[in-house]
Formats: sequence, structure tokens, C-alpha cells
Amino acid sequence: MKEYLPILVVFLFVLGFAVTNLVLAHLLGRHRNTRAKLMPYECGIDPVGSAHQRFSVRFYLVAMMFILFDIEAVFLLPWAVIFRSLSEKLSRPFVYAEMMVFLIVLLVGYIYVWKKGVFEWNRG
Amino acid sequence: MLKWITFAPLIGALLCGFLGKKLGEKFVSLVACGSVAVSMVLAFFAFFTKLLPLPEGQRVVTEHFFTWIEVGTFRADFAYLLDPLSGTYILFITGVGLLIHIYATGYMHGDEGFYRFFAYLNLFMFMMLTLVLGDNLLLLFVGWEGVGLCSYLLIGYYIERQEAGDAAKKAFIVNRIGDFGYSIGVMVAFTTFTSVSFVDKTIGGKLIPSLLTQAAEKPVEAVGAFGIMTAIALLLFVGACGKSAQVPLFVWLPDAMAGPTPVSALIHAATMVTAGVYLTARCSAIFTRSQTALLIVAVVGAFTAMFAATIGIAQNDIKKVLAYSTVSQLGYMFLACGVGAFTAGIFHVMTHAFFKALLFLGAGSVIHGMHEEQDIRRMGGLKKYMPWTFKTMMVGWLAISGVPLLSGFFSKDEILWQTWSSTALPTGLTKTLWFLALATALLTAVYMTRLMVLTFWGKERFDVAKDEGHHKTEHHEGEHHAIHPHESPKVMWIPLVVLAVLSIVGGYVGVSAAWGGSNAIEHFLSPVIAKAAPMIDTAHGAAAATASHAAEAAEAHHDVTTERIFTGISVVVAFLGIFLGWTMFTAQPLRKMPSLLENKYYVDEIYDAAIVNPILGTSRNFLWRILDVKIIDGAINGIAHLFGETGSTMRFLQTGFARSYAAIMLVGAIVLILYFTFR
Amino acid sequence: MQFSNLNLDYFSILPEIITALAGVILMLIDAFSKKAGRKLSPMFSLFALVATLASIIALWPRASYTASFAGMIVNDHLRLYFALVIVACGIIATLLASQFLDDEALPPGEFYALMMFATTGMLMMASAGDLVMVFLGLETSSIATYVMAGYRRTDLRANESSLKYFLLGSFSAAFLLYGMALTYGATGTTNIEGIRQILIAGKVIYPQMLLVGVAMMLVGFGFKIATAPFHLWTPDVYEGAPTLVTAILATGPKVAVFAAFLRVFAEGLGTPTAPAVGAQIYDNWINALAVMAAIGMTFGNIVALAQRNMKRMLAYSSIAHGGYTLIGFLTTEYAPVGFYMLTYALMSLGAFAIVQMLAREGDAKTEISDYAGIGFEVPNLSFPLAIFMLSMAGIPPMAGFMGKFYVFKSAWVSSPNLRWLVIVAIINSIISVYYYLYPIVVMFFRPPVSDFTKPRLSPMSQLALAITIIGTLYFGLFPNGALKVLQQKTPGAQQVAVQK
Repeated sequence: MKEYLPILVVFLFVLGFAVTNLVLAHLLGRHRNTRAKLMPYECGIDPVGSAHQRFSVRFYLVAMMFILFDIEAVFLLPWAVIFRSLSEKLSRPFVYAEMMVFLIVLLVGYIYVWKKGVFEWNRG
Repeated sequence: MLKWITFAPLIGALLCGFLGKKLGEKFVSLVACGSVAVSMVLAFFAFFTKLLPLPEGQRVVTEHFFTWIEVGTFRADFAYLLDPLSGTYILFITGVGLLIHIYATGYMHGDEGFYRFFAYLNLFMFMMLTLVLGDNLLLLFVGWEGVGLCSYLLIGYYIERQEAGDAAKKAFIVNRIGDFGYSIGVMVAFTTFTSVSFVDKTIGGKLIPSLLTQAAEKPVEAVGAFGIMTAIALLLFVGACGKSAQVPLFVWLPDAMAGPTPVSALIHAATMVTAGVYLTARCSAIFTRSQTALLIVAVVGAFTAMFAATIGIAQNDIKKVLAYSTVSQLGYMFLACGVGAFTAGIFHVMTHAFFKALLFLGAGSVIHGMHEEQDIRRMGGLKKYMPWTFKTMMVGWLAISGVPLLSGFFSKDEILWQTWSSTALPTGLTKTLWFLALATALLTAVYMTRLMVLTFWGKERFDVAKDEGHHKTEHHEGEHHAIHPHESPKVMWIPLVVLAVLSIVGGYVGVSAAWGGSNAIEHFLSPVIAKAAPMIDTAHGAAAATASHAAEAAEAHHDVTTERIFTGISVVVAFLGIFLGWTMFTAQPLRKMPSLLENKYYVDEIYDAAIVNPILGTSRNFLWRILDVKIIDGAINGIAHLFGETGSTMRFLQTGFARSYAAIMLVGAIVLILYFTFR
Repeated sequence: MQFSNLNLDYFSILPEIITALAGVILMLIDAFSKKAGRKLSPMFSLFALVATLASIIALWPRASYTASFAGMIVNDHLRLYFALVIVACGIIATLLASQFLDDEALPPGEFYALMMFATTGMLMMASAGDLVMVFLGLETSSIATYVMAGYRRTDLRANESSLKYFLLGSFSAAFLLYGMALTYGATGTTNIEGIRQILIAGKVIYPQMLLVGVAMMLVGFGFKIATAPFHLWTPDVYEGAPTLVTAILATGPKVAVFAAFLRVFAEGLGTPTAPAVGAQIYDNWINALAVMAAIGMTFGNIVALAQRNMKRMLAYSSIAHGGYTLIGFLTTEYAPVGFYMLTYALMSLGAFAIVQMLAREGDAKTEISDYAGIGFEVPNLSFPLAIFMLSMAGIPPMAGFMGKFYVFKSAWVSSPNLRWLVIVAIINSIISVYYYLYPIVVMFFRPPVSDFTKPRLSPMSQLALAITIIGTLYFGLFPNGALKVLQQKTPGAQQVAVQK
């Protein structure tokens, strides 16, 4: 069980970070409650009522973009951590090139969605 | 050379099909008849210069075209085999085929689908010749399906008629039931012999003897023993029943008369329908190994012969009468095969091709001359209008009835005698079958006489029987007064004359020894036909029985006096039939026939009620409408309602569907997992 | 995992690299210039696919069971053969696409890009030597085809089809993935050859878990090849999707899934003599699949009898064909499956292509009654359709007959336990004649409808049609070449143990 200790530490740290921020915000921030601010989820769609209503497809696009680049970061991190040890076993250019391929693919995707106007919220 | 026999009509078909519409009738007639003529000349040439000079017993000419499929131990070639059996077939196929092609150029004159018709007809010739010449069961199957396809296209040729389309479909589907037996038969044969070829083949470096050779070495399975040979033979026989319209798969043939008459003559009388007999004779080595199979073949044949003949008596459509007559005659051929007299069967195939093609073409000529009238009740007295048609059809009539010295007499008599004297089946049975066959001969003479009397003799009844009701008259409503029968053009009656000559002389190749002949055809065919073993008496030792029966058989064979007496009996029966028919139907041509017979024993209705409607009904009403739409979708929607999701059901109906599909998948998955874990 | 046997053989994934790159480039062409895209894209896709074809052929002499990329990629005859069929399907579909997109006035660029990505995924499935690769390939191709099914964005039926396909496809993918996870848990490897070795050695860690895992993988594959009871999506999706997309759905992905299915089940789990759970698993999946095949083809054929819509009829017919293919599958040899898939793909693409051409904008005319009397109006379409129908019905000398015959014969000879299934299949193929003949009867034997106008045919469509017709006749008459290729190696014959 000993090897799981760092995970526990990280877990506690994350929990502490979140709680501390909430508490600090509550203590330090100014409280001017409006109707909109009191809603459980401030921006986006009204969560109460029928779920079967139409809302803009752009929400999904943004959400998907977010997930993609999120995963990019998640994938980059462990790669960076083991880069040195992996390079010793395999050739260094190979380890480097593999990640570059991944990044280029993402970059192309980024260019594509940009040209297609996904980021222009007001278009159309 | 052999391949050009088949490819000539194929090229003709392609030319007619692709260029025929533009280049017109003359071109099509020339190409269609020309290609078949080439094929016929080559067939005769191959037969007389290649096959006949070979020493007896070694008459085999093969031609390898390409290896069609070779995987592992399985090999089927695109290769042709010319031997006495296929040789006999190609002669009468190309000969009769050419005559019918020539006739059809007159019959179809002016039809807007002229080129289409001849394209199909030529294609049929190609397929039929491939069927007969194919050197293995699989290539035979290509021809087998190919002729089925052409028959389908030609039955449905008159596209504007609903019944033609239906008849075409029926023919195809009933044939497929036969093919089911055939396909499994091929597979069982392959697993048994590791060969599907009729000739020895090198497969994977090893010489595999032909399946016929191997079959001939297997022990004979007695009646009641259901071994592998019986299985193969019976499976192949199911296929033969479909193609050759035997009980219970005969229903398509009478309906097939919806096609143009030359088609009925060529495909549904002379050639294609005898493919089943060909298959049986070709595989005689297999059939003779199983006495159960022989017995079933004989009984089915005799029963079909009798059954169809009784129906034939009560039909009023000239082509329907001939159709049932064909079914009945095919029954004869199978009876011959069943009693082990395969050569007699093939002999009858040949003579039947002559006189039945003649009768059909004659009927076509009558229909033509009567302006598309097919009901014999509305004919009569035609002999003075159509002298050539009358004279030639008379030959056909006498030939099929078994009047001595005409072709039908020799072949039918041979079958009757072989049935009586057969040692391949239990004695009591052969005598019963002989009696059935004899009764059928009587009926044949009666219904053919009825046909002739109603058509050519007596008073003209061109406008009577309108009130009789149930005949389709949509084409002629109001114009029947204008019927002036006329003789058909030369191009039509000349083939009739040739066929009439053949119907007279065609029998002399098989005059039996009892009448001073040498039975050339039997002699010629016998090297490729297996002999049926004498009946095995299972109660006593097989060996002893074989010996005694063999002796008996030999004795029976020389019993010339008995054979002559039996010939006498069949002559008497033939004349009796003609006499009966004559007296009955000249006196009262329109006498009412038993309704059970007129309605063909209600076989179609029974099949519809018992087989066709249940399957379609299940499909439409249960599997699709109920299981697929109602239960699956309904159940889930119902649950949705139950849980109060009543709002806007219509709008979210689609979601319901997907959900229900997912639910079924889940059930399937759970069943699978349970099966995997708890088995 | 050890990296000593990484074997970075880039040449072995050249086909996948070409299609993936081509997909990316097509995407960019469309993003930067729509105009250029319309003209350039079809030509470029064709070029890329032909290059892929060439690369597959170039790989042929190197075919052996050598796994590259740490066992992820297997370059054997199974892979190469199926890759060939997949790319051939891709080429035919690409040829048909430009007319389809023009007629329907749809944006062209993305369609070709999606098709390239789908092809990449399919090729990955064929070359996968590892469960992870199988899943990756499956998802890559599936996501592309989900989008293609809804490509006619403004059409409600297409939307419905796409959404259903997506929802149910994801559902089944979840089963597959979970099954793979359990298999990994039970054996400690995701490598297919590795799993086989473990089964043979009898070293399965958690046998019960493996059983559940395999059952779940069977669900996932069963969905993709549309066999009962996981076939329900097929008719709705096939009917709603644009006909060309239906043609693609019915062929390429099916071929690819059968390749992966063969790899995982026939090869990885094809262990009849393994000790304990290995043999049990083999028995289980063989029996389960036999029943599924029988139900699938019977259901497909009988329901197809009642259909009056051409696309729906072909959808049910494809369920039936899936069942026939499974019979070949049960011999655990790849040759019958491979050959059947080849013939099926050809006649299916051809038939759907003609339906597409006759259907007009928005798939307006896909009822069989719309075909009344067109037989001699458009002989260049009606005769090919008749050929494809007869081929599907299994009439010689068309390819469909040879495919059926070869499958039935292989199954009949391989095991007496499969004979009942062959008989069921033959009865089924008799029933099927009835509905395959129906369009022919309607086309040739019914009076024509008045408002019929001849459809336009672009040269590329004509070429595609010609390929399918010639293929359908060629493989019926001369199947030997393809069968020789298929005989070159059967999986499991000379396998090299992979590092564990």
C-alpha cells in the first residue's frame, strides 16, 4: 500500500485547494446576489425544466474543442516525465518524433476548425 | 470444337441482344438461326467424325477450357465432355432447336420484342448445351440454373400480362426447391468421393477417379437400407423432379405455357425439362447403387405419368393439354430410369423431343391461325383451313398415342416391356407399375384424340362457349365473329414437316431385338450407363439371390415371345384409346369433364394454402409488422408511457425506437453472457 | 511492456499512413478553398487510394506473421487480402461519390476526407495484432461513418439514421471495450497472439472473467456485422442514410470488421485443443455464433420478403448475407470469409449504386414500385441490377453463387457439426430468391410508370458500375485467382511467438 501514498497526498492537496478557495472567496468576496448569480449553473442553459429543448450547437463544439486540447495536455505531461528514461531504451529522435506527430495532427485540426469558423461565436 | 458448339449460340445471343434492336428482324433471324445452325453442324460433325470412329467403350472426347475452381481437394473445371449420352443429347437439342428457331422467326414476326426473344432463345441454347456437355456436377449446375433463368425470362416474355410474370416467378421458385436437393447432393457427393467430375481428374497431383467410377464400386444398398448412395441419389432426384416437373414439383410447368409457343416447344417439351432425365442417366452409376432410390424414382415417375394424364383429359386450353401430356411423358422417362432401363428413358426423351415439339409447334400454328385463340372448345373443323398443320399434327398424335411403326410406339413399348421384365425392383411392384403405365398409355391416346377431334374435326365452334365463362377472353371481346382461320406461312409449316418426318423415322434407331432390330441406341448408350443390380432379397443371402436373379434376367431377356405378346397388348391399348376418344368426342365434343380433373386436383390451391401463404403471412404480419414494429417498439414505448412520459410522444418516437433496439441488444448480450458463464 | 522487440517497421503501415495523410490533406484543401475542393478532392482521393493499393501490393512479398510496433501490427496474408478488398471498396465508392455529391448539391470536401479516415480505420482493423488496435480502428472508422450517415444534414431521415447509428454503435462499442478490458484482466495481455499463447498454455488468471469478456466482445462484433439479435439498427440506418453512404456502410466496414473478428476469434480464441477454459471458450463462441448465424439469416430473409422499399430490402438481405458469411467464419479459416466478403462487397456496391442513381434527389424513389417497367427504358441500369440481384440470390455463373458455394462447401467439409447450418442456409437462399426476383419482375414485367426520366450518369459512375459488373461476373467465372491468393496462408499456420 505504500506506493499509493503519493496519490493520497495529491488527493488531499487537491481537496484542500478547492476547499480553501471556496472558503476564501466566501470570506473575502463581496456578496451582491442577483437572480442569475443564484442559479446553480451560471452560464449556459437553464438546467430546470424539460431537457428536450433546442439549444445552440456551438456549446458542443466548444466543449469538444476543450476536451481535445485538454487531452493533449494530459498526454503531454506523462510523456515529458518519462522522456529521459524512455530515450535511453529507445532512440531519442523516435520518442521525440512520436509526440511531434501527435502535436502536428492536433495543430492541423486546430487550423481546420479555425478556418471553418468554429471560434467565431457570432457568425451566421 | 466442343466449345464452339456452345459458344456459337452465345455469340448469337449477344449480337441479337445488343445490336438486334437497331438492325431489325432480318438480321436477328439470320444471326439467331445461323448461330444455331453452326452449332448443329458442329455437333453433327463432332458426333460422327470424332465420337463414332472411336472404339466402342472408349467413346469419350473431352475438351478442357479452363480450371474453374480448384481449392484444396476440390476441383471443378470449365470442361466439356462428349460421350454417347451427351452426344445423343446435343444432336436432338441442336436439331430440334434449329427447327424451332426457324419456326419462331415466323411465329414472332412483327413482335416488338423480336430481338429480345431471340437473344433469350439463343442464350438458352448455350445454357442447355453447357448443361449437357459439362464434365462435372458444378458446371452442369451452371447450365441447370442458366436454362432456368432463360426459361424464366421467356415465360415472362409477354410483359404486359400479369399471369406471365407470375408464372415465370413460380417456375423459378419451384425449380429452386429442386436445386436445394441438387446443391446438397453435390456436397454429399463431394464428401463421399472427393470428386464432382464425370471423368478422372488430377487434383493436387493425385489422380482422382471420376465420381461415377467410384460410385460403381460401392456396394448396392438394398431397398430399405438408407446409406450414403441412397442419400446422394435421392438428393439429386429432388433436383431432377424440379427441373423435369415431377410430382410434387410439377406445378410450374402447366403455368409456364404463358410463354410464347416456340418456347413451350423448345424448353418446356423437348429439351430443358428432360434435363432431369439426363441427370438421372448421367448419374446412373449412383442411382443403381441404391435400390431404394430406384424404387422411389420409378414410383414417382409412374404416379406422375398417371396423375398428369388424368388432368390432361379435362383441360380445354390446347397448350395446357400438351403441358400435362409432357409432364406425363416425363413420368414415363423416370419410370424407365427407375426400373433400371436408363437407355429406354433416353430413347423416349429423344422421340418425345420430336413428336412433342411437333405437337407444340402445331398447336402454335393453330393458335396463330385462330388469332390467339387457345381454347379447343372454340375450334373445330380446322382441317380444311390448315391442311399442313393438320397433317403434321396427325403424325404427332399417332406417334404419342403409340400407333405401331411411329417413333413413340418403339420407345414407349420399350419402356413398358422393360418395366414388366425389370429385375431391379420387387416383382409385384414392377407388375403394378407396368399396369399403371399401360393405363397411362390408354389415357394418353384418349386425351390426344380429344385434342385432335375438338380442333380439327366436327363443326366450327369459333363463337360458342362464350357463356361457359371461366376462360380469359379479354383480347377478343367483340371481335370473335371476325375469326377466319388460315394456314400459317411456309417458314412455320416446313419445320413441322421435318419434325413429322423425324417423328416417323426417329424410332428406328431403337427397334428391339424381338422385332428384328438391333436396338442401336441401347447398344450405343450402354457403355456410359450403369446396369441396375438385380433385386437383393434381404431375407435370404444376397449372393445367392443375385445369382438366381441374374439367371432369371438372362432368361427374361431372351423371352422373345413374351415381349411380342406385350407389344401386342400395347398396340391394342393404343387403338382402344384412340377409338374411345374418337367415339366419345365426335359424338359430344363439349361433354363436361369431371371438375376435380378440370381443376387439376386443386394442387395449386393446396400449395398456396399450405406453404406460400403461411410464409408470406409470417413475414408480413408477424416478423415484420408485429415482432419488428409492434412488440419491440411497442413494448418499450409502453414502458415509457407507464413511467409517465406521456408528453409529446410523437415527437420523441424515434428515441423510443433506438432505445428499444438497445434493449433488445441488451437482452441478447445478457443471454450470451449467461450462456458463456453457466454452460 | 518491454520495448526490446519494438520493431519499428514503418513500411508495414504504409497503407494506413497514406490514407491518413490523404485524409488530413483533403480536410485542409476543403478548409482553404471550397472551389478547388470540388474539383480536386475526388481526383486526389482516387490517387491516394490507388497509391494505397500499390503499397499493399508492394507489401505482399513481405507477408509473414511478423508483428511490428510491439505486436500492434500484423502483416500477414489475412491483413493484406482484406486491406485489398477494403481499398477496392473505397475506390468504387469514391468513383460514385462525385456524382452523388453533385446531384444532391452537398459540400464535397469533407466527404472525401471522412471516407479516407474511415478507410484508415478499416485498414487498421485489418492489420491489428492487438485488441487495442482493433478498438482504435473500429472507432476511427465508426466515427467517420456516423458522420457520413448524416451527411445530408437537412434531411430528417438521414439525421435519424445517423443518430441511431451513433447511439447504438456507441452502445455496442462499450460492450466491446468492456469485453476487451475483462479479457486483458483475465489474461494479462491485450496482444491477440499473446492471448492465444496463454490459452494454449492454460495460464488464464481468471477464467470466469475471460468468459464474460469474450461474450461481451462477441456482442460488440455481432453488432458491427449485424447478426441477430444485434442487427436491429441495420434497416433503419440503411434506409435513412443517403444511398451511397448505405453502400459504404454495408461493405467496407463489414469487410474490415470481419477481418478483425477473424483475428480475434478465429485466431486468438481459435483454440479447440487448449486445456480447460481455452477449449470451453472455443466451443462457446462456435456454438453461439452458429445459432446467431442461423437466426440472423432466417430472420433477414423472411422479413426481407415483406419489404417493398429497395433499401430496406437490401438491408435485410445484408443481414442474411452476414449470416452466410458467418458459416464460413465458423470453419475458422479466413479463405471462405474473405471470398464471400469480396463477392458480397462487389454485388452490394453495385446494387446500391444503381439504387442511388435511380433514387433521384433526396432518395425520393427507392420503393420497388418506382422501378415499374424501367427494364427497357434504361437497360444500362436495369440489366446490371438484375445481374446483382441474381448474384445475391446465388445463381451461377455470378460471383454470388461462387461465394455461397465456396462457403457452404468449406463448412460442409470442415465439420459435420456445421452441416445442419449449411442446410438451413440453402433453404434460406431458396427463400431469398423470391424477394430478389421481385425487383426484376417489376422492372421487366410491369407496365412503366409515366413520370420516369432517365438519370444522368457521370463517366466516373459508369466506371464504378463497370467495375462491379465485371467483378461480379469475373469472380463467378474465374474465382480461381482469388482463391489461390486466399490459400496462401491460413491464420495460425506458422505463427511466431510474440514477446510477453
